[in-house]
Amino acid sequence: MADVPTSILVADCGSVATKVGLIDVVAGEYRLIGATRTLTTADPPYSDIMLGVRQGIMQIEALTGRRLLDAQNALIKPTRVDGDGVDAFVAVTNAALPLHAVVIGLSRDYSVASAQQAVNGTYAVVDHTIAVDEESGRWGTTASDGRAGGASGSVEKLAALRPDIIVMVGGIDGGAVTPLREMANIVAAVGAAMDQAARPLVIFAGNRHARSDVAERIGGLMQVTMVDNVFPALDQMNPAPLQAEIENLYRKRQIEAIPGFDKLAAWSEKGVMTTADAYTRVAEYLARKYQLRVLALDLGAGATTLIRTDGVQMKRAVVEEYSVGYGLDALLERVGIETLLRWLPAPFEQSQVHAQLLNQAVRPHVVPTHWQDLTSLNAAGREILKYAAGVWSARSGHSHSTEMSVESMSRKHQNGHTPQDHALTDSDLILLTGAPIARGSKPTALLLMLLDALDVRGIFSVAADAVGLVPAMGAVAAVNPEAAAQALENDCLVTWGTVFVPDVAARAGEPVVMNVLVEPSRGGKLEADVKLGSLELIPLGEGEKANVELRTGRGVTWRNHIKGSTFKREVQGGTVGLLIDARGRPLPFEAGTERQRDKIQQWMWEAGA
Amino acid sequence: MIEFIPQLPQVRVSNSARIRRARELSIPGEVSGAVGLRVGAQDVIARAYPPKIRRALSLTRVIGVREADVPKRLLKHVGDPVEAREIIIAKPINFGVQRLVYRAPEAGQIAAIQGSWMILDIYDTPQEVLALYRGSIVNVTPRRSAVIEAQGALVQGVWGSGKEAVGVIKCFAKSANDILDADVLEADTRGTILVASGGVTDALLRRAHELQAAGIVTGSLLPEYRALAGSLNVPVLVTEGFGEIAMSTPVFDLLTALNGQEAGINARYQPRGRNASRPELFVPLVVSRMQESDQKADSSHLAMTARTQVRGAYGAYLGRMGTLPDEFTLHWLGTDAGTQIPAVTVEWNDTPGEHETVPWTNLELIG
Repeated sequence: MADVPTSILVADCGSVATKVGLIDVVAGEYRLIGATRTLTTADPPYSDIMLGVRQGIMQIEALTGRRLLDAQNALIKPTRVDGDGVDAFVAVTNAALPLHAVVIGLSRDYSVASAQQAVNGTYAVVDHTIAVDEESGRWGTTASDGRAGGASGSVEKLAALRPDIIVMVGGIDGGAVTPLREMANIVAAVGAAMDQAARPLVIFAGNRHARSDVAERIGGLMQVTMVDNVFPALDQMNPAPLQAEIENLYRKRQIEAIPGFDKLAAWSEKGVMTTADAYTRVAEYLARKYQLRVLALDLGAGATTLIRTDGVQMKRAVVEEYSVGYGLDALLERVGIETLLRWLPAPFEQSQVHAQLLNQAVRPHVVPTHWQDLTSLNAAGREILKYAAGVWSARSGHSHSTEMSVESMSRKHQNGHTPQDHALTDSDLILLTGAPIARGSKPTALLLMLLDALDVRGIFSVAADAVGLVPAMGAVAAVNPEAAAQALENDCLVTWGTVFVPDVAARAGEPVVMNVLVEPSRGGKLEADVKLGSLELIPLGEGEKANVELRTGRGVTWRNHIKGSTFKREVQGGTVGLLIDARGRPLPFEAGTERQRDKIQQWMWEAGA
Repeated sequence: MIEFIPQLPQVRVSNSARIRRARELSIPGEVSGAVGLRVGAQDVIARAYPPKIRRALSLTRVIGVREADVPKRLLKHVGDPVEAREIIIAKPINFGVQRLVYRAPEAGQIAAIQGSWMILDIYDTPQEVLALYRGSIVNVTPRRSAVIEAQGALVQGVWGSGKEAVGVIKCFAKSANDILDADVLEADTRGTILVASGGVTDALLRRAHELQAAGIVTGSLLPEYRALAGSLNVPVLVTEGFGEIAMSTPVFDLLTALNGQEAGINARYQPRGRNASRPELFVPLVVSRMQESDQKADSSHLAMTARTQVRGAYGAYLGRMGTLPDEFTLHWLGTDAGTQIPAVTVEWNDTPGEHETVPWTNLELIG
């Protein structure tokens, strides 16, 4: 085998589907020469993740005519002279269930919020939080009836839960230790009351000077891990060490417990990455290479991931509760079917939509073939994305940044990066992967879903994962960065086009807010007036470029530092083309349900959805 | 043509299945069964004493005692049972003339004391785990679980409301798409597992709960009744899906044939993870018909061959039974959205001779 593997087999084992791809050199460039999709087989009745992986590989064999498995179903490695086999195998997965966490800290606004934000960037679900400052200033002094000295409802809830981990946070380094001792007593008491085998692991990410007190009180009862303070100083956030420890636990307790994982890991050159970590690498690569602020979204059947990076800093939210597969049931319970209906035109009947979404939740592998069903799922996708964006930016109004540097992620422990606040509204590239694409939704419908759900403004590009293997390219990069980059850009990513979303302050009734002149490089000219509250779709094919001149009326402004009422820009087309969204933000919702649903219908027509 | 056949999801609907099921306590307790023991469906094989509530309170705060003084002021210690109003900790005040005390609010047990904090478990009724599946215990994990091997008829569903019970199957449906309403229920409903084919009304759900039915098995459930079904004490098992869907023929035929027999209904719905399980109804075979229990449990994988029976899992063909062709291959099918997906030609059993191209992923194996 060469030092750098040239033929690479890659597998992405999701909670529902396993995607397998084969990368090799074609005409001097790395190309994805085959990609397949099959059921994930980690759960009963199969209980062997390798069953699905091998099925995927067999499909690749059928597609390419290249033998990859030998008679014993083992991977042929390295590549033989006859062309059979591969040089390397890499895998990513998010097929495991998340960890369940409880966050306990001194201050709701600072330590608890910081820790919660850090946990939200991992495959862990925060089931409960306890903040000392909500307990009348002293632990457990507030009974449900307000009587001092009573039992603590929030601590009782902790005692009733069975979390995998308890994250203890609080105090800046060098601050008071006494409240943390009391907090340690609480955790120790709760742990002592549990069966020994069921006791959660404790991660202490608070004031480093309290470590010995915490260890003394809890260490004899439960396993305690000390990591750097998540909130070491009033002007500093340091989530990376806590996140790294949770990821480590997730790997050991959940991923490594997937049936068949040992065989998958034995095949993999560099271990098995989580899908979110691998996808983060891809987003960071694109951000660094093209100097873009990238918003990468993964609408999976088992989890929803939202990553925002500018190549230097990265922030991520992983939402396990709501997804476009298993999580639809929980979503319906949280928002109600009526909330979803506001994203659907009038002909959609409530009971049918409700039934279809519940059926998709119990059979997430099913591929809807009817437009109505895909549209209903995209309505759910809007609410899931809105929720994920809310989780991502939960502390955006806070004076302290919750961002982490890329370097701090890779080196695990780095304090003191520059706080910098930026929001989802400012992004240059939106990248989408996940189930909606695999299920066959139209790009225009998915683009409208993104615009409706995410408050991204200005001028930005949108690209999508054509084969479901974009996140896995992050793992390929670990064995051959060039192969990952070329396969990603040659075969995995498909450009949908360029979107224009101005801030519109014009009063309703002023019909035209913008005049657009498009001059494609292939020749010709197209001019359009864009009305307030409308969407304008202008065809511009994949790989085509065009000069766009926009003349805006009063009250129309742009992000991206564009000044003046007229500007020109060269833009790229794509599967969708150019989409101008003059609806204004926040989106203008009609008060009456029927009128709102008529408006949705109009937006869908205008966007070609 | 596509030269590979991917895996399909599968559902067990069989009049003769050999299964193993772990019966677990949610918290550690006592497992009373031993390996080799034959158990009936209603036998209690494990028992635990979960607290009704875990009372958590700071002793320093309730009577103002310092953390260091807590041990010497305690009158009860970890593991001690306490009666209602019994004193747990006391501190002398007014030069020892009086004392400040904290009494147990209800009968329970002191679960933990760490520093100044005490966790007091208030007793609840014991949690009992029924065997549910009549068969033999083949494995025991002390304090946690027992695995039962059983043979009998098995009907797996796609959704369950949680809960489990044992009862006698009572089929009301005359055809696979009947909607069952409350007016058919009478006083003798108690302890029966009601089989509705096409669906149930909300009135039936409520009435079944009032009359203490042991369970409900229905082909489909209207989505607006999902929350109601989850809130009732009656386990509800849905075999096809949500909406108005007729019960698939093999499920309906098997349930009809099992009318009057005692069954265990386990409506636990766990779609993901190592403990993923489908809700199911199980009717044990009579002992004389059981195979020797030293044989391995039936393979949980259904074979996929020519003429295999499949069930539609999506849209208009949800719940419909069909047959794969003699020599089946997959080919590409265009969708409304303009994408191509692998598909197979299926002959639906209700329209013999007619063939339809169906996306492969939208079928499931049944048997």
